[in-house]
Amino acid sequence: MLKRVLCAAVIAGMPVIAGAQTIDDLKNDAATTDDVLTLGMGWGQTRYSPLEQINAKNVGRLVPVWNYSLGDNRGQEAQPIVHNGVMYVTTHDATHAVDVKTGKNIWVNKIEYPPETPRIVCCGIVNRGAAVLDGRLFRVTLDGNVIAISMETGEEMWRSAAASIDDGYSMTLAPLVTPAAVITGVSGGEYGTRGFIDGWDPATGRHLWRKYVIPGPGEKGNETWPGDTWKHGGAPTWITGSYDPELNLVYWGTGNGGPWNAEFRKGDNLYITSTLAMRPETGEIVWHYQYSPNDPYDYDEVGENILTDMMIDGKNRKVMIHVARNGFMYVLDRTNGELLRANQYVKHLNWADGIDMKSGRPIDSEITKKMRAGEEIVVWPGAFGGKNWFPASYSPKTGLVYSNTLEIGMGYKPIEPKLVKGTFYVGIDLSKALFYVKEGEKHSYLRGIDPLTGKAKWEVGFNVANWSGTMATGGGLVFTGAQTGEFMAFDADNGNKLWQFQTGSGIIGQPVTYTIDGVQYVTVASGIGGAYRNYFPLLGGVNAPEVVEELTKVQPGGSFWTFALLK
Amino acid sequence: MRARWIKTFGIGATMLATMTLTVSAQAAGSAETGKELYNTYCVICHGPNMVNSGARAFDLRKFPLGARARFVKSVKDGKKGRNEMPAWGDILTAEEIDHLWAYTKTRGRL
Repeated sequence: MLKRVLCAAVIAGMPVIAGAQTIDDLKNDAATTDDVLTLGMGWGQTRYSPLEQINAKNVGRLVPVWNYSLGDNRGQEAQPIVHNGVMYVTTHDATHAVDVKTGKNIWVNKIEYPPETPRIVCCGIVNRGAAVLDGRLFRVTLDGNVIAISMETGEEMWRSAAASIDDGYSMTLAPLVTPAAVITGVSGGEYGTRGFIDGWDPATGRHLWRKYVIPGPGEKGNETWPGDTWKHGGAPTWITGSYDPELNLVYWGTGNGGPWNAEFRKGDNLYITSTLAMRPETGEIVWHYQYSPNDPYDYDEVGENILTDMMIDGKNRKVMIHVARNGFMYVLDRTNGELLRANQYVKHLNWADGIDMKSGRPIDSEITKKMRAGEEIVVWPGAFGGKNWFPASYSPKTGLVYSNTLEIGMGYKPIEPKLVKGTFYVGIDLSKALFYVKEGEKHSYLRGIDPLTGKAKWEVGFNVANWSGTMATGGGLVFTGAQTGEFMAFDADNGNKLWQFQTGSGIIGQPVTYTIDGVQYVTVASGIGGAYRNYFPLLGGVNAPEVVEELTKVQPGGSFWTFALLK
Repeated sequence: MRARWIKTFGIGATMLATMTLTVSAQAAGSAETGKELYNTYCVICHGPNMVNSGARAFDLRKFPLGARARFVKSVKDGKKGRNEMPAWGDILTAEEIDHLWAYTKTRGRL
């Protein structure tokens, strides 16, 4: 196989396209800097690269080497995969293979989905990336399929249906490849769905297992749902989990309860807003940690679970860091789910008075008690959370978590929910769900946060909220993008902005870095879209007109930019 | 004639909307029913009272009032391209789309 590909590549004068990405390659992804084979630049999703060719001293010389147009006006949230000189990128309706050296297209695979699909996709018509193994690229389709594409030819190899848009499900995440299965989750927490996670055979697409996040009748945890509420209880699984090969545990996050109005589903509602530690062979839940039992505020905890080891209270612990949407930063022992730290990392938070470190449960504030009694409130953080889907990074060099964070409140008035096909099943008065920002303050900060205290060592504020992932490097840099188009590099120690480049549209993607022939490159998607762009103008316009004006001036247009140092 | 009548009685935008509604109700749909449907299916993209920046979805207040066929087709089949929108033909009946058209003609001032 390898030989044949090599021959073909030489003849065509093209880069080697396929070749073996074995499970070992995936396992070593964080350490091998000449490729990017996994979401989060390693199964542990630290988004840290030890590369230091581009560093705080020379980043001023970073220049674009190429721009690749995706021919698409939707939001671009995908992280690229880079293997053997080829970059694989996804949009909501296509997968592209691009020659990293030239920025030229090698193949493109287009996807069709029914025109009804976008109405059950709340927060951006996007795709967040691909996974690879043994010459196959795995991705999901917006209308609920998992497909494998030949990395060599771009042809579809298999297609398996995971979910139906008729039931309110959609799919946007990058799959996770583990030795036992390709694992995927679903979106649809606002549309009366019941979240689940699937395992697939990478070679054939055969369905291996399904784990419903909300237990059915007779299963442990179903008693936390009154009556039939478990059937439409939400708990979507729309962001990729991380994986520890030594412990053989997958750490997958789950989303909000449905409807948002939690009085209609009294109880803890397992396993909404949780991290599930699962066996990749079966989906068996080994342990779980629920961040916000009976959550009414759309605090999805699907976001990345960062795996690292660190000294805590004199002991070296295998931990999992979670920058929770509910405004607290958690550190758990990832061998057993023990809560080690839970500290507020946002300035404005009024839904809880803290986290009880013994039970691990949040303490309802007076505001939340009022809301539960039916009163209208303004909750901080609002439904966007202290941090939304955009992934944080962790640098073992500085010990800091780098995350874009939000200071946005939201009006909240519970009403009786109505389950209507194709519409929001939330049970709150949407005409009162306005976004609020604090006068005289920014509502978006890039922060370098100590995970053990939740305190920011430094922060940089932005007028329009950042909606992009971050990446930390051994060169002492943190990269992220702005929705106003700037791709930026900051000093990881103090947050000084060292470099920026205007990419033409807004950035809501996930930067990566890698080397080709010993030269370090940085790549990021540009192309505005996503939840903030969808809803902030609609529901925040009256409270922040100047922000909306700046945001809505940004033009759509998806592309990938690749940068290197000027020689 | 109608303009002079409005001028004479000093009736503002709200009343104009109501009048338009009366005319359209005779032709087909009810703007009140349309508003209810709008608040169920359309509001999350097109905004409360049709107020939105145009960044996420078409600003319906600018929809040409004579283009009923275009409106019906867009709602039924969806649209591709820059003003992309999902199709609703499998959920909304022709009659309901008529109600929505009646409401759309009020420019959100009902």
